[in-house]
Amino acid sequence: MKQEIAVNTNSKIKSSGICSKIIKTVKKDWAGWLMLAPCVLAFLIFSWQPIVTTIITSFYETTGFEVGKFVGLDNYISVVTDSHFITTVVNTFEYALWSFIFGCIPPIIIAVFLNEITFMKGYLRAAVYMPNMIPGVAIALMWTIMFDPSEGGLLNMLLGALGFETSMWLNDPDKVIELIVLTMAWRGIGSTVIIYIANLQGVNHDLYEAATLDGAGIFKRIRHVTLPHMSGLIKVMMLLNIINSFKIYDEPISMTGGGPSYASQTLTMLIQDYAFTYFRADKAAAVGVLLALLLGVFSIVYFKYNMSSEEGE
Amino acid sequence: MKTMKKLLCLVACIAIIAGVFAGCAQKNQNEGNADGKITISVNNWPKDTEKEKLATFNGYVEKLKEQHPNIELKTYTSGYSVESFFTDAASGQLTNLYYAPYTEAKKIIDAGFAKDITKWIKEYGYDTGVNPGIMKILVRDDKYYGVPFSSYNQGLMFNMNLLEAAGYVNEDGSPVVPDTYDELTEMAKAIKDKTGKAGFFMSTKGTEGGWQFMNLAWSFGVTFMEQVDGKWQAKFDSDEAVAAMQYFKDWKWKYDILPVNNLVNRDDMKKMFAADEVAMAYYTKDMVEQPILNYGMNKDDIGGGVIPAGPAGRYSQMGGGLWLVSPETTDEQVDAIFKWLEVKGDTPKFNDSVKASLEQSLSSEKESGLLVLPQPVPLWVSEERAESEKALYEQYKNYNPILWPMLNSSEDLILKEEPPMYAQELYAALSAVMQRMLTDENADPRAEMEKANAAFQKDYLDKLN
Repeated sequence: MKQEIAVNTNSKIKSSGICSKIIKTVKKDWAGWLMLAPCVLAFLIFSWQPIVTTIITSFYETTGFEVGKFVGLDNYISVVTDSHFITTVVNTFEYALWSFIFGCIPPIIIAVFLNEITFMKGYLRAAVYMPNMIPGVAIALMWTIMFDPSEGGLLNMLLGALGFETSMWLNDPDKVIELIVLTMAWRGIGSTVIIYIANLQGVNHDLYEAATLDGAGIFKRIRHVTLPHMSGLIKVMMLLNIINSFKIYDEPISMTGGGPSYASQTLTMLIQDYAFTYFRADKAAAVGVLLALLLGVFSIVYFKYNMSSEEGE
Repeated sequence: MKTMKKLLCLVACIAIIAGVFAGCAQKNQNEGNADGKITISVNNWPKDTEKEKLATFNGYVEKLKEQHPNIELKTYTSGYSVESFFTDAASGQLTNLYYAPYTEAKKIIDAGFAKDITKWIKEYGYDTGVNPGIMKILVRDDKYYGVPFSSYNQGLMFNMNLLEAAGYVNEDGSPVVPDTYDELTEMAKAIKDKTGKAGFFMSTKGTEGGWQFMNLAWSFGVTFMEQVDGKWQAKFDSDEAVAAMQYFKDWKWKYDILPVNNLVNRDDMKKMFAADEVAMAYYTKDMVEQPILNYGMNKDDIGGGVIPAGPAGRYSQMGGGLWLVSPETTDEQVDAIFKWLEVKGDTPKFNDSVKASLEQSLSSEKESGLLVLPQPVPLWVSEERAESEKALYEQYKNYNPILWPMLNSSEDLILKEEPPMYAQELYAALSAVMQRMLTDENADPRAEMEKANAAFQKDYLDKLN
């Protein structure tokens, strides 16, 4: 009993110590803390409150958006055992894979190329970045027109003129994800290239000179000087690209609506369907939490690489 | 100086925090004014570009001011949107009176986004004055949750330019109307062969594919679900359902009468139809309006007829527009809403005022260059109203009767409502099967329908049982 009291007293002393420490810190520069308050408040209301509400909602049955009976893991079981959930998860990973292929390697090549060339540098940099300024849905609509599978479709006419067979493009379940990712990579490549180019400005030119004196050609210089310098950033950009690919929504919804036959459906589209088409906020929240967990894992890896790349620098 | 600085800082921060909270405050739709005025908000208001319609609606507002000076109207042009409805409803941002199509009524009521307005439905005579077949969409446990204001059933529309090019226009200028799906297939094939354009259009994207497939499936005798011993069972793996899906598949691979693009919806149809890329399609009112309004199609290049019959009969899905009341609306506002509906003419009562409103509406449709076609599905029970409406439609009709033989009606036509449970989910499942049929020549309709049926049973119906 005495011991318990002792523990309680200790913890009380400890917690009152923390409180007084906080009060002391705030008092020390209360104006500064007050200036921070709106941001903290906005952060709590607009970022954390929805996250917490979503997590709570996922464990309840809802009518509209009203939380009702506690159902434990039922919503999770229901969405995971849904006949199309696995297809959707596989699709989402496929988006990530193709995003890795289309969105990671080409920007490195373009950035190195743009860094090396001496003519039209400014124009080419602007041209590469240009698609990034167009909204995603507009890009999706533009590509949908170009991917028209009829013989009069723009790309099919080009194929025909070159003597190739026409394609069904987005109507082909085996190609649809690659094509959607390709359009996204075309749009997003500019910003990645700009980041790589900025990174390339930090390469020590003495290293290039030394390599040249040692007889290294352009490819050897890139391999032994440029790429090692970029490697940390490349890892980070690759991870960011993969994380973003898990959140794909605009392009598939406007280009294919998730079709043909769920072939381009993503987890974010599943959330949209549950919430807005079927009014099932509980299930939408459950898929949202699952997606967040998945992204959380990638984010941890991202921060790990980010830290190691910063340490490397 | 330092204290002054800190004070200023404090005031600025409080102002910012207050701003954050003010920004988060809910828009209050339940406005009761101190001067005794009742304000009601209404959506689906005509846009500035719809000049004639807007003038008509402004006329209604004037009439409201005359008859009920204590009622004020706040109008919004937004209509029903799948993307925004749920968030609007969940955050209390719905207008007091809001529009929704028939297909959305069930889920809106089930989600608690519509107010129980039984008291006023009875008081204003909607319970006995509306076609009971339509009114039942809005009833749950003997309570009423809305008011229907328009109704239609799906018919068949023709692009007269393509029909003419393919020789499917009679001597008197009327279109050849296919009586059965076999005749439609034959006609669509001939059009495709002669003009190179799609003979028939069916939506396949999202939930629209399944929604349109209903017409074809019912005409093959398909029952999508049944309650056996109190338990719901999915039934669209039947021979009839497989036959209907096979028939749809043949349109692509055997007859090649559909558009080349297999992922299309009604928006695509409107563009393609106006550009003479599609000869025939199922139609609803908006599908006839949009090619004229948005794509400059001549109204006399459009013809129409009744939906074809299949082996099990001639079936067409009903649809239309509903008015629902947001749950936050006060009783006072609901009463004002019903007065507004009377002024506007969306009421079972029929008097000079209602007649004038209807006349105004038809006249503006005619002035806009839209096709004024009679309402094929009777919405109001009152014979007086039905007769007077018929006479008004006759007066304002601007369609060429030769282009619209039989006007989407036939003695053997059976009107159907959408399936009773999880209709949207069913449509999505069927759209996926339809897409599979169109993208894979070797796809087996039976296997795909059995798979979809089992998934629908497991994912939805089993949870009800």
